[in-house]
Amino acid sequence: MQDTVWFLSVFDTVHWVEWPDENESVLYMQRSGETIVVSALSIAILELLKAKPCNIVEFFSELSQCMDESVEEQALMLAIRSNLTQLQQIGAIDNDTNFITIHNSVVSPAV
Amino acid sequence: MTLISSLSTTQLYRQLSNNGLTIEIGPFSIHACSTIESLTEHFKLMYSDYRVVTEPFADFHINLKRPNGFRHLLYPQVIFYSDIEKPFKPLPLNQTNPFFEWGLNWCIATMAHQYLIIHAAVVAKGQNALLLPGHPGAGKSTLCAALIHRGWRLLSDEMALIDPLTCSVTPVPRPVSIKNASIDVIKGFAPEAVFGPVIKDTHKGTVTHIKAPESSTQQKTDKAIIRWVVFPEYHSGSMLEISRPNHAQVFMDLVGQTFNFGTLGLTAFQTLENIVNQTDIMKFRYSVLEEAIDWFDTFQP
Amino acid sequence: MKTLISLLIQPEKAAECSLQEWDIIIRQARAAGMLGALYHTLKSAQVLNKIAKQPKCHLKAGGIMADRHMDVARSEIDKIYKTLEHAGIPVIALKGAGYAVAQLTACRGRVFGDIDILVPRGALEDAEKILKHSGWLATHHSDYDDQYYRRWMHEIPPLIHRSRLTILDVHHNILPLTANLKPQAEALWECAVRIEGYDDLYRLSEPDLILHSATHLFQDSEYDRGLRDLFDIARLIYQFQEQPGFWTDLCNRADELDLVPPLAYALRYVNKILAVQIPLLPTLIAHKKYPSERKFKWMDKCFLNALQPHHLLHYSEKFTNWLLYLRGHYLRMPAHLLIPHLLYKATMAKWQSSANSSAETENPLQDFLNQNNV
Repeated sequence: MQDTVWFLSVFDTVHWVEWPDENESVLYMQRSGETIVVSALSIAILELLKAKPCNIVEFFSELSQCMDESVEEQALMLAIRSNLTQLQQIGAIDNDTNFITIHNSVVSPAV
Repeated sequence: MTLISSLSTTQLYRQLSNNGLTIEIGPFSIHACSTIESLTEHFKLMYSDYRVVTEPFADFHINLKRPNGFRHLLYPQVIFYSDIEKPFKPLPLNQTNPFFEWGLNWCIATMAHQYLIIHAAVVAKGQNALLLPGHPGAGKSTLCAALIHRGWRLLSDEMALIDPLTCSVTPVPRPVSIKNASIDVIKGFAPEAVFGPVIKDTHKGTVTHIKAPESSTQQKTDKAIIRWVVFPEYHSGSMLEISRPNHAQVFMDLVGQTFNFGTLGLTAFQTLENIVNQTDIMKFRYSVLEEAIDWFDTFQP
Repeated sequence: MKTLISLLIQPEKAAECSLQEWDIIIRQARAAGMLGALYHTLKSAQVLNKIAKQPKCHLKAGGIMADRHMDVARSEIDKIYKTLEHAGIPVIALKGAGYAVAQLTACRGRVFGDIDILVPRGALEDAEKILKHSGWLATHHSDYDDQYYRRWMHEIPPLIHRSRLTILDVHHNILPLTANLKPQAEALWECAVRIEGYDDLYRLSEPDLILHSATHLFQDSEYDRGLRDLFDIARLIYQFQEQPGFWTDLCNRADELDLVPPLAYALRYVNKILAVQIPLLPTLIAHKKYPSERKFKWMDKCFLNALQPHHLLHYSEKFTNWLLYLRGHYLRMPAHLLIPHLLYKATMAKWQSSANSSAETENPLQDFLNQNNV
């Protein structure tokens, strides 16, 4: 799971709008039209993926540098994972081990 | 240039019930056809200052007809046609006038995709527009009806037609729909307003329409740029309260109020982004109409 | 007087249309579901700048709507494909969604209703299970309809996505099992063309695209999108007819898949209505299933009206449409099964729907009024 490589979706294009000093941004999927509110962490993840595909270790390493020292490692990891799931569900990002992951799960989430 | 007012009631009825009449409403030419007499009265009263179109092209073709069959004798009804389409179930015959207005809203919202269309009242001071997005029960229609009788120009009471490139609003001044308790409130607030007949037991309760002031119809080609977006909330007994919501919340609220957000795709997203970033946005709670109007009076571009 | 059809045939004539003609043309196009297709046809012919402002607004609005439809159709196919790919189920995207994902000219300006896909018959049950686990729900229908779809038709009952509200039709063949023409689904798979960028997503081969569209048009019972579907066939022909051996392959394939009559009608009516030039095809004409002159004359009576835009129909044409509705059903089910089905649909279904107060019986557009408080 550590080696799972994430990348921006090839099936759709993600757009977003953010505001200084506000933690919430709005994300828009160009093809599907899905529009949701996401956290600043999601935007940071997307910015990293715009540069290159990343695995979770790389996310953690980059993002922990911008975090306050009081943020616990585990809490950040959890937050990264949950944001990745949300972004994947809306179709903004994908990963290379999807087949194996879904095959092993009992119920696949709505794509 | 022929205005509706230059036609006698008989002439108007004859035209509407034979080949129909095309009338200019904002940027649109509406071809209307009906043998139902109340519609003639509605046009005579509410659309007297509007131009009769002689060009043979109409943007929308509206027909209001009584259904056939003997059931109609027991329960008189009216059907709305948009060209050959019947988008709605029939309504009682006495709701013909509001049916025309509701149906025209539907036509614009489902076909005029050259605009981003937000469910909102829009009024303006000069070229500066105030957008009042409309959650049901928020009081936007009441506010709109009051503001246009206190120096603000009516662009629309229901749908903001926004040019995606410039974020300007195109006026489509039409009769302002108000309902239930608001009717008496506005009668008291603006006794000079021209009211249509009051119709009870519609799906919205008791409704009536107020004629758009002549100044608004005269300036029907003057676009305005959105300067303020105010989400009104009528709350009985509350003090006047202004707050500034966060941008993401505003954005999503506007998405929810945009009729053709899905249809316009990325253009819609980018237009809303511009609106959210370039306007003064507030949430506003009120209970006393005079207070609310006085507050809006303080708006300077 | 210029009409929608005359502009589809000669788009350059748009520069000569009067406002009066435009008034009718826009209405015809809207009624036929072809406003976007007309917009793209005129855009390709580079005549948009010669069109008056008012009609041009409507054409552009039609184009905007259709372009969005295409984006959403592609997005839906992507999501459905990803869901089924995990289980190793290959998918052929059919009709509009197929044109969209393969980026054929036939998709330009098209609006989409349901998404249609084909999966191998053996995978149908798994596909249904996986889709239902992924947010797709069975649509409201009676047990009778359920049986109709599964036993007699070539698809599982339509699915609807719980949040996106898209309707999905999953087929295993393009005609019902009981119909009197019996194409082989495996043959469709053999010739299917893989879509670039996807491992296991396909479109039908060029002859099969035309044959499927023709089958859909001439076997089905709903003709209100008839002109649109005929225009699809015309555009497919225009896109592929320069390929070497195209006409021979098309005729041979019609024979192989037992689809000679729908092809014969398709070619006849794209020629008669849309002025598409069809070469002489002796093998097709000589085929034992090629319709007789008498049959053509009867069909002309029905189709030359039914395939026109449904605008301003007269009463007699509505009757002809009803005949076609019957014919469509006849071709899908043998007669002894047909009458009870139609009777059931006409009487029981109405009674049921008036007895229920389910959302499906409400006019969704009435909801527009209520929800949006307009």
